[in-house]
Amino acid sequence: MAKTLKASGLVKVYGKKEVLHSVDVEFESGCIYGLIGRNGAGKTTLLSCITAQTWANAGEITYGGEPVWENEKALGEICFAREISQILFMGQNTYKVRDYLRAAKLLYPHWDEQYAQQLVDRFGLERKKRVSALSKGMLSMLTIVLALASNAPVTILDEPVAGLDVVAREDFYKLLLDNYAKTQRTFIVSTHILDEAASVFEKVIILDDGNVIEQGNTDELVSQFRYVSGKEEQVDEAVAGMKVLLEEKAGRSKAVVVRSSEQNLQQLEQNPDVDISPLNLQKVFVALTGQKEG
Amino acid sequence: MKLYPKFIAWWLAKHSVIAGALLVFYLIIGALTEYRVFDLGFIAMIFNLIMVLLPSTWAMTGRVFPLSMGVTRKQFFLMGQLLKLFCLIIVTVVLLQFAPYPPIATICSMFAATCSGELLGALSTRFGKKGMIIFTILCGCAGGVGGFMFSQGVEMTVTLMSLMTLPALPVISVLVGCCETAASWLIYRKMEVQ
Repeated sequence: MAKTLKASGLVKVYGKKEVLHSVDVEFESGCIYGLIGRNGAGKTTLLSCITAQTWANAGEITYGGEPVWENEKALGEICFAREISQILFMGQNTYKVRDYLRAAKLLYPHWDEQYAQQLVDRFGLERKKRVSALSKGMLSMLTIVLALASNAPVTILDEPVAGLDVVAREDFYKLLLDNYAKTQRTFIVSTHILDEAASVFEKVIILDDGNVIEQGNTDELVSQFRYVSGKEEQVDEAVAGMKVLLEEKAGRSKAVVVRSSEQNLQQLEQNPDVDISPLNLQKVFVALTGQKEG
Repeated sequence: MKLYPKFIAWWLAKHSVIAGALLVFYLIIGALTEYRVFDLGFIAMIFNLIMVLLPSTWAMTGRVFPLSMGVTRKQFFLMGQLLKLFCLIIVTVVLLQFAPYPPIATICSMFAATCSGELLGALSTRFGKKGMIIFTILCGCAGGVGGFMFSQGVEMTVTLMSLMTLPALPVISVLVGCCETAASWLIYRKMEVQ
């Protein structure tokens, strides 16, 4: 039976700072989600809360209708491969790569040892090397091995591509898609590097300053935005009545990012006085979250 | 409730190397300084140290894998109790080699020691750097007090060892241990993974 991971009214406070402000989010079964947000937006905190690795100050988190907190059955179906920090002097950093994998084998109920070893060989990870001695890229690879080999019905990866070069990033997304095609499990990938990710995410959740500002189908979201450029007066006239998100001026030229309904955008595209082009997910993300600096 | 005994055994095997090295170190020191004359008492003291160290390490570093890999806090806490029980059995078996029967007070004091270790580890985890500093200071103070008492000569040491024969000591030790375990659970139940 398909199970949904759901959080409603989630609040998390660290000290005096509220990091998550009554977040409502839902992850349906058998889908690849992208959780995107700027640094400090609350992505890791949200993921930690929904996987019960951190307790929430308020709100409810359920998996298949049952609370996740201290739920052995629910937690056994969720894998949260968090970003491994090189600076932690205790915990996993004192272990070797093979110890890390050994622990995962002993604790994850769906662990696929053969697949894990295949991935370790593919990434060229040295089994005898200590986690603290791994480069940032290697740490990302270890996180990916853990997530993919866990075989958990809900697999969450926190910044898996942060330390990877462009070739390794493409390789990771290929692996992810291959695995998804075979298993149809839910993947939630948190990232702020969107170059290769946009075509992989079926659904996207955009987090900004502790609030979910967008949640839905990636293609549908991206299709609501256009980049309009031309002479200032003509651009202003063309986008009148539409929501303008970003504005750039250079002399008498002007460029804006607008968001509107399909009907309005079709009308806009018929305007011969301005240049109109679609946006990719990265540009949409910048338009939605970069306004404070704009 | 699944308690992952294989994981506990694996973790213990990895950390027993350090505990074993510590044991050898103290035995050599004991032999060199003639503390070996107190045989059971001295060995009990060494085991007390190990019994403090293992559960505190479990709370501080052992939690990372289980809690980040889907184990509940209750399971992790019970796994810690299994570890303590296992250590206590091993130590009792070893102590039996040195005496016809292990004095109940020694075993009970070791139970209190292992619970102290668990609590100290939990406190260090909960209060981070401050907890580590307090833990280190407490260890230093305990070591200093122990060293001072032994430096007072054989009579003082014998007096200390004779305290072990007090009839109320086992009961007090067990009570202290239970209170420490309860306090540890209060920290464990909201433990977070960083």
